[in-house]
Amino acid sequence: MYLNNERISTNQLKRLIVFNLLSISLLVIPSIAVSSAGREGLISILIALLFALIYSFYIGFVSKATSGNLIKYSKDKCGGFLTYIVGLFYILKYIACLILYVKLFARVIKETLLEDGNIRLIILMLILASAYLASKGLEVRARIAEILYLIILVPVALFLILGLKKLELGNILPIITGERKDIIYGAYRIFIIFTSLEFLIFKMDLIRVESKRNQDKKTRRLGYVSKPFINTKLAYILKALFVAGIINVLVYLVTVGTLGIKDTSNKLWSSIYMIQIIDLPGNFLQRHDALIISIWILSIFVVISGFFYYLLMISKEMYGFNHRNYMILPFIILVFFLSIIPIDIEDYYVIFERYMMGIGFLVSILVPLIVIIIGKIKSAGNKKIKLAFLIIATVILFSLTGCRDMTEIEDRDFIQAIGIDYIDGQISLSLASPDLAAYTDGGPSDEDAKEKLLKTLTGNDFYQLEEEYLNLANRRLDFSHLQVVILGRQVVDNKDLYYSFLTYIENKYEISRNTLVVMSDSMAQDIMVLNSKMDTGIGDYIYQLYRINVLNKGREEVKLQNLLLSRNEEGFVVKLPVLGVEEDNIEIAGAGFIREGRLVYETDKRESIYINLAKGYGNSSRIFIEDNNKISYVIKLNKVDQSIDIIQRDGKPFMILRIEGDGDLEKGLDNGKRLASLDNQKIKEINIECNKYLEEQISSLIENLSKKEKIDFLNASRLLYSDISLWKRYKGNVDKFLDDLDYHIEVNIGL
Amino acid sequence: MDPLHDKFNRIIVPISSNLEETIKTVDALSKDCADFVKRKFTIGGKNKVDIYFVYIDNMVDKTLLEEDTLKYLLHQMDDMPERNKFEYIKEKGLRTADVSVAKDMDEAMTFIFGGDTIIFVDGYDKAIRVSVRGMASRGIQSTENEAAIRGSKESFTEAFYLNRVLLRRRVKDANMKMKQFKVGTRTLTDVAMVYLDGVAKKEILEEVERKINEYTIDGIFDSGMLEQLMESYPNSPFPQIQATERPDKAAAAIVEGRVVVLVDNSPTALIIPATLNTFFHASDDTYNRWQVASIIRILRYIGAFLTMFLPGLYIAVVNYQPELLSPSLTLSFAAARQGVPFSVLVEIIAMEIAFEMLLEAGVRLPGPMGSMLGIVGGLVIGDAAVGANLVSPMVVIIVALTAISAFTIPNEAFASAFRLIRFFSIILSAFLGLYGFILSLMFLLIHLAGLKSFGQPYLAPYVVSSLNDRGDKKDSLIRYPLRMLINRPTFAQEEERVRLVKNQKNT
Repeated sequence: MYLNNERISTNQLKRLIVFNLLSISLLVIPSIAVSSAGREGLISILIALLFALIYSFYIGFVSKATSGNLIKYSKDKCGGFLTYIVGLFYILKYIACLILYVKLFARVIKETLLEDGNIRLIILMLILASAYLASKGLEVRARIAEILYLIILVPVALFLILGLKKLELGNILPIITGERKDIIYGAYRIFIIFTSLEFLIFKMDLIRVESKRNQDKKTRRLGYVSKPFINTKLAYILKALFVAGIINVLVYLVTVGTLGIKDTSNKLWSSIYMIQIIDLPGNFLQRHDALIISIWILSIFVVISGFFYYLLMISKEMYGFNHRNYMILPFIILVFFLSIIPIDIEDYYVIFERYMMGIGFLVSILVPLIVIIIGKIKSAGNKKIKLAFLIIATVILFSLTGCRDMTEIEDRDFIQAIGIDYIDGQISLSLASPDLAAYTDGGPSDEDAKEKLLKTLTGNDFYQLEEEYLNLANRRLDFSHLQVVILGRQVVDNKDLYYSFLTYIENKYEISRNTLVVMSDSMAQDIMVLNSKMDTGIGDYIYQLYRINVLNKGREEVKLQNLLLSRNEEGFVVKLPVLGVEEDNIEIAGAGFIREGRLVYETDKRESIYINLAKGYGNSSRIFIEDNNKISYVIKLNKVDQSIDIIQRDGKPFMILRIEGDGDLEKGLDNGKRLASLDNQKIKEINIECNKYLEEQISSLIENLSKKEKIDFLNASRLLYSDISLWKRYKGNVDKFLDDLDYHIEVNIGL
Repeated sequence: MDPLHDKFNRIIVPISSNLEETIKTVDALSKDCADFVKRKFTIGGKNKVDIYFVYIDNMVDKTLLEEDTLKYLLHQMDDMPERNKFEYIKEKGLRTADVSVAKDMDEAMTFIFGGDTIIFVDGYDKAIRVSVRGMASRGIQSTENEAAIRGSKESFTEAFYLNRVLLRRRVKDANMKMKQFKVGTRTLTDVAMVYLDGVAKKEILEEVERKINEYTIDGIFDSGMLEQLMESYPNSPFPQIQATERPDKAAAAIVEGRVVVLVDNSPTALIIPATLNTFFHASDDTYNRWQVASIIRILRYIGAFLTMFLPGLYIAVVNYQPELLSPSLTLSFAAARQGVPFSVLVEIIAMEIAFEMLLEAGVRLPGPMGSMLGIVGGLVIGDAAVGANLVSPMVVIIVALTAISAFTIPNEAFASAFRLIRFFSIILSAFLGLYGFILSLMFLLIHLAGLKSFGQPYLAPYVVSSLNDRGDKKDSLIRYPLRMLINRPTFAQEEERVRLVKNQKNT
């Protein structure tokens, strides 16, 4: 029979610790790591984990010396007064932590799930649910952690592993540059996040060790070497640290690898943007960031309830209350009102960090006062308190919102495509809405009705344009299903406007960073007006064009995230597809290269093919081998693999570009002959001729684009991490890199 | 104040050794009770004695009483001794094994109300109980609410003695004990606690016995009333005691180490303790192949999730996070809702209430009308409402799916709890979107994690999973092959956990 003895198993302990460590660290560690230590952020994380490891041993020592309960021990041995001071110190610290956690998580929830929601309500519900969990005791918290452990960790871990595919090594490597001296300081800042390890010194005595029979079974299974580690509480703490460490490292790698150093350090919770970028296989969900964040939210209740629980426990020991649950009310009220003080979370974090590194005492005056008031209320009886509390909570719930944050689905204007032009010194924004009639039995609307689905707004600023929309339309502007962004030529020629657009995108969480971006060969409006001619709208058309024809033809997909990365990372070049309009049909006219916020070069269709091939794209596409402007061979590529190695030769960078793959020779043999009917020598000759032609084309591209136009279209400058001396020499100086670059190209497409 | 009874309705008047006084007492107690049959006889040869027969009409087997008992007493008692007449009548005069002594009037009347016959003997302050019961009952029928494709079709009945027989037939073990109590000061309802001695945990047995006797109530008419009195968390919508109509399920529970409580006049037995996992078990899970049983169990869990959370999730996604859906699906929903006058929240709540009313009406109506109501109601609600643009088609599908999913859960009381949770989730999702949905999930989890059933965590074996060598998990979401279920669950005493052993080949 299981009594209400507040004892938890070592397995439950492990899971609780993992949640305590991961809930906030998943959000903030990448940002803290890179803002302190730059590229050495990963080392900071590893050192922080080492600190945590040492701290765990220290906790083990303290709990052994204090019989597992610090406050009780202090009371027995040191007297009431000192216990009071010690208890107050922890209470202050945990309230400060609570405020941070509550504010931070509420802000993230508001930004990602409830944009129009009332943040006070979000904070209140977060606090109430966590306090409810805390009031149930340690056993219930442990059970919740046990159940949620795999439910949360498995999807998050799988998601991060999928995210490894999206890594740009150039964003992470080289790890050791020797430039930043703040690695240890960064490690200490990260270690502060692991403050919840401290909980163990209050409750180590309540952790139930497995029975001897089970211990012996495990020892027999794992070997006698494992005996000292199997069942000690410390062993489980270390296991928890190991799991948390792995996940934190993964989060860091995926966040920095996808967003880049600058973008990661821009915001304290930058890792949530990483979630938008990673694709889930199967395409069964359009945007999964809300789903992943919802799963992760389950864990934050466990960690916030932990702070409440230990606040209750410490105050009970300090003030000698028989029933500790009374104390939860003043803490709820205090934390709520402190959390809603209008101070930006990032500013609060700075303060919090300073406090954690020093000593804060603001709250110590308020807490006893509230305790006295609650003491008077206590005489009213437990049931009356609960009833009063329930009534107050319900009134607050209904007064803070009246479902006014909820917009019905039919009242939303789901913009599927936006076109941006710059005409006569003003921004012209075209918004294409979907034809809802096309999704009903009645079929699509006629052309005249569809013309009304395209709205054009003009103004000087994107936020101003949004306001203008609100004045005109009777629906809520919703970018959550945006399929494509079309940039007019004038936009990519205007650096300030281009950057202003990117800043707008960055701050609008609703617009997914995975949205496709294309460029118009003239004005975006020329493409957008075709919206009335497409059954399901221009956005859907271009999206399908990409999915079915472009992607399957092995061409590169360019998304908003690529544009942001090119803005943040020096020398990063983005190749935007250029669309043109030919007799009301859209065609891919070529590609444009954007560097440092401007269109620097444009290619035609033919050149694009070889650029794609050089970049390693081109599966299922066709290559036309020409001789004196006559097509002598047509090769259909089945598989293309590209690799670039950059080594140092005579003190200069030397690039080896290898392109390998296989293809079918579709045209080029006379009289219907088949390749297999030829002898090996002839096949070899044709193969060599084709490969040589491709090498020449690519070489010509490198000479024209990279050397002459200074466009690093291969982004080779980002691959210098393999040689730290080269990386240091050319960091921030892509032009010099391109000048000094020598190269060798090997094309080996087997026919 | 009634001079014959105390404040707990116990009869305080003793049996008098003077038969006339006893007859007066019985007359007073059975005043205005037309179903009492009383008659005085004089039996014996040389040494005669007066006896007084009392029983309740139609509760006894009259043929047996007349032929075997009364006839013998009247005609075969010539050798009656001068002394020890009571013992002589008891040992020699009654040709049945089921005979005992009623020590006082309260006990005697209890036996009479239970269907026994009482014989008062002049000169003695005690009475003889003869069990010649012959009450009319429904007989053993097939179970209505826990149908199974495979396995026994028998169901418990209102007759207490029949229910005991049904269990005894299945567990032929002398260690299966049936400890009986009388609950209800007016109804004196027989309640039996059935368990396997040596397997069931002593703490649970003590707790069950304590809970049965915890309250003094005037009457218990069904096991449901006793269940509500025994629960530790009466304010929780989730039952902490499992109710079943199936004797095979009850017998299986006894063998696992759980306690079964039978209540007279109730065709539902109670099984204690109960965890969330046990509510998802059906009897034929064990009788079917493990792959089939596992898939069906997973379906039940999915059904439980859908029935609780699908409407709330729908509201959260459609109104707050439509980006989760593909564009074509989102736009289909938006197009379908054109012209609907109500918000999604009102639609869902109205449809849920309508479906709940249909279900409830269908239960109350007799057979054919009940099923017809389901069809007509479904047609009216579904088709006409959509055609009139009162609701969107998706909402009808959501609500119908929600209702159907609830019936995948084998336990009706457990499934009923979901109805409340559903509305809670709907409200929170309507106010706070996906965050509200997660909050509702969290509140539910916290509540369930805090529940216990007679000391057993409600969420076992998903919590405290390391106990019993994780054996309990082998019969949870997935049912392992029967050969691998070698341990009893943690309901049983630790020394008696092993229940399956492979026999060694004879050498």
